[in-house]
Amino acid sequence: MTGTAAAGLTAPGAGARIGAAMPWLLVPLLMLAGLLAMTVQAMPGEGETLAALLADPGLWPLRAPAALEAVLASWVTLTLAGLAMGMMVFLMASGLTLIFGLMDVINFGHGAFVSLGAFVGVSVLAALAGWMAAPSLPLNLAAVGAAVLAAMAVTGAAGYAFERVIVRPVYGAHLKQILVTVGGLIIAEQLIYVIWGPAEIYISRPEMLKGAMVFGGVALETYRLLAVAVGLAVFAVMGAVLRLTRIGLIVRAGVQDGEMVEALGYRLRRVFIGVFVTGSALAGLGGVLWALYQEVVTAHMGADLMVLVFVVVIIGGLGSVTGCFLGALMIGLVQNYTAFVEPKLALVSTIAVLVLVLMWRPTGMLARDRGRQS
Amino acid sequence: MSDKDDTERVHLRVDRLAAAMDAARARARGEVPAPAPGNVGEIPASQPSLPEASDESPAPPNPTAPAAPFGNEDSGAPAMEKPAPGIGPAGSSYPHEPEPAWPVPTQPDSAQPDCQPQLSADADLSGQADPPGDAPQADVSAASVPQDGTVPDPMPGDAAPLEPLPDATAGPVPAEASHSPDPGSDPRTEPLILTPDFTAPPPRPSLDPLDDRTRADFPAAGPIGAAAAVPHPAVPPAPRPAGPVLLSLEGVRTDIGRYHILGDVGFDVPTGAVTMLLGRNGVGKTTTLRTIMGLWRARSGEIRFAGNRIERWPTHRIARAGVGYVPESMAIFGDLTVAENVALGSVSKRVPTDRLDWLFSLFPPLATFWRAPAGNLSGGQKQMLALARALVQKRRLYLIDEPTKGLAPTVVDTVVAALRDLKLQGATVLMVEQNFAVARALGDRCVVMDDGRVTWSGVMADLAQDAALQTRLMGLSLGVDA
Repeated sequence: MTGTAAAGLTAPGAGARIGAAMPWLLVPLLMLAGLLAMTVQAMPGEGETLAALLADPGLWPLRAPAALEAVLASWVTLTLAGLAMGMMVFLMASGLTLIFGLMDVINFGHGAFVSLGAFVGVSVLAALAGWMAAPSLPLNLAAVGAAVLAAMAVTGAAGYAFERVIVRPVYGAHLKQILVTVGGLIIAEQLIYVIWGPAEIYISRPEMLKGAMVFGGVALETYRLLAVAVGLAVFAVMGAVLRLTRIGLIVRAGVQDGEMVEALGYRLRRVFIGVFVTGSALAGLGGVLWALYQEVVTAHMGADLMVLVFVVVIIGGLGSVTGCFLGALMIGLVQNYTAFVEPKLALVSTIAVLVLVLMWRPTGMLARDRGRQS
Repeated sequence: MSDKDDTERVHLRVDRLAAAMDAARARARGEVPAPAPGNVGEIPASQPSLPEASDESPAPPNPTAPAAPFGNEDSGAPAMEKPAPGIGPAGSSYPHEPEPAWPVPTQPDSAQPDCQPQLSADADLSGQADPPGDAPQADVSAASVPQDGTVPDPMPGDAAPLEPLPDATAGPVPAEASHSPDPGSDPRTEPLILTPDFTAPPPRPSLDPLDDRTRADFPAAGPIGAAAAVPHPAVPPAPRPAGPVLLSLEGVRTDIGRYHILGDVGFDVPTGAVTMLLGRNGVGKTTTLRTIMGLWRARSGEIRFAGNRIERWPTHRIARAGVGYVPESMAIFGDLTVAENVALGSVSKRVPTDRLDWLFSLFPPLATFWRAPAGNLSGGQKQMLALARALVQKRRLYLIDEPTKGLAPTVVDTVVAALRDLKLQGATVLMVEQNFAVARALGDRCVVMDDGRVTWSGVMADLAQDAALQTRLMGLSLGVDA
């Protein structure tokens, strides 16, 4: 081998390494930015305006410690709320990003599985009202677990049918996919009206998951902790499956170049059906958790959430589960911080994050390397 | 390569082209021997297929098109008998020779004793009969590079007597130019050695509606296709291989979108031999491999692999049946590590260690970067990885698409050595290769395609020794150093 060929791999410089780690750093950076914004907002005393205070740097050291102390508890609460919301959005979005990455299928019907999962879960929880009301954590968790399992089973099966009936005939035709999957979403919503009726259904959380735990004066809502734990667990399991198993290897390769995976002898279609069913089931899981978070379910909740889910999939990079995870956390945090600091901005904060990320990385934070490079 | 070098080369080519045109005019005036009758006989083969072309391109007084000779007899034959150093016949020590795989400059007087200053231009016009080292000599001297008998620039295309240039000589209608019997004035008559800085060839003329009509006028009349259906003294089709046949195509037609890419492809790939698929750019070689692999669907025809009709099989089933595929794009999974790429090539869950050791001995960089992301590899290393991914599992047939495309000469040597090793193991290979020196060094049999059809198939040695045949089949300007 000559030098030219052997020197093909160059060690990445510090800049490149920071660039690679940047999506991971963005989440803690956002947390710090949130804390800073909240502190600054709390700094003005009685009768002071923020502009007057900012114009006088000499006052900052006097006011900052007190302001920081005042907002710290709120910041922890908001951060946990943001993380919990991000985890639930991640559950709904992770399947969508793999479905797109693997087979280039744009599934606007994904929200239907969120709604369906929520209604199935709520029905199961209603049936298990005794377990829900009991002041026993194991019983409460068993009820939630049963609801989640039922929801995932139903949405997984629905995903299989959706893939066979609706998605399969339109492989490779993006416009048709959009039209047909939106149609599927409408049909699913109407079916929910037929089965569960048009009214929204209210549900209260299990007894032991209501309220908050207090750590050192900071109240942490129990249910949010549960949502974060579930989200982290799903992310870890997905990562392990993708990294360590042969199916995961095929999925990661298929996201880059499905044709070559087929040419190596793998039935990518079968793998894709598995991914579609798994993604639908995860959407159902997200739906149950979201229903208990909001304590109300509606037939169009999935479609409403799809805006957030698509933003997360896009800023994460189509086909990247990790990007989807980080994007979901970022969106959750930004929404909660802006809702606290400047409620009017909360509506546009999601779009602002989307715009900024795409200006920085036009294909998303962790876009796949789509093969065909030579 | 610096911009200055590029500029100089372009100037040189333009100069040579101008000289070639002068020479052509001289020939048309009768100052140069008449065309060889055997070659002229080929003219009707393609000309009648374009009756409309003359309407669109009223350029009858173009002296180069109908009158210019191939010139094989006067300049090509002597060179034919004098092999260039470093490039022996098939099976020679090609990869181990210090000389590169393209024509090495020799003394012009020994190659062509009776031609003087106009030698270069004359040879360029005759195209395929370019004596070895003639054009490089011009390049070398003009670029003020030491004449030490080596080619200093690692771009084999420098040996090209003519790069594809804009229609300076081809006349106003490209379609007609492509059917011109005079390869010297045909811009598509580039050498089959690809260079890293190879510019895209002119648009494939068969994408032209005119050419579709052409094909409709000549419904295929057998595995040899329309070119053979037209009566002319072409080489008769070589008999199909005598031994066991692993893969055979019969009347395969493939469309991509609304374009008919493969018109009628039929050939056999014998078991345990290396079959080369040759032809100019855009004649359907890659499409043939993709059709075999099931990545394009054949509209009609039969593909038999190991006794099974596979033309309707899905791609993964064809692969599982024992076909390894190395695509032209390499299709490396850049986000995956080298190890993961190779693991995907192994159908069994555990990568066979003996094959792995063998691959590491062939391609040492793969061991070095085993845990690194494949996307960070250099182009040559990616090609090694693409080959390793196909070779890690023992397959009954390997389809390899241009394994030396765009690689530095040393990497070409590595790849060729690996493929030779594969051949020595008795593997069955169907390989597309533009580098004729490589094709000759590795190939046992050879299938030549043009315009979506097989125009010749037979034993590689027959083609390697017959410059006139190469000229006729491929417009191959490098055959002279055979």
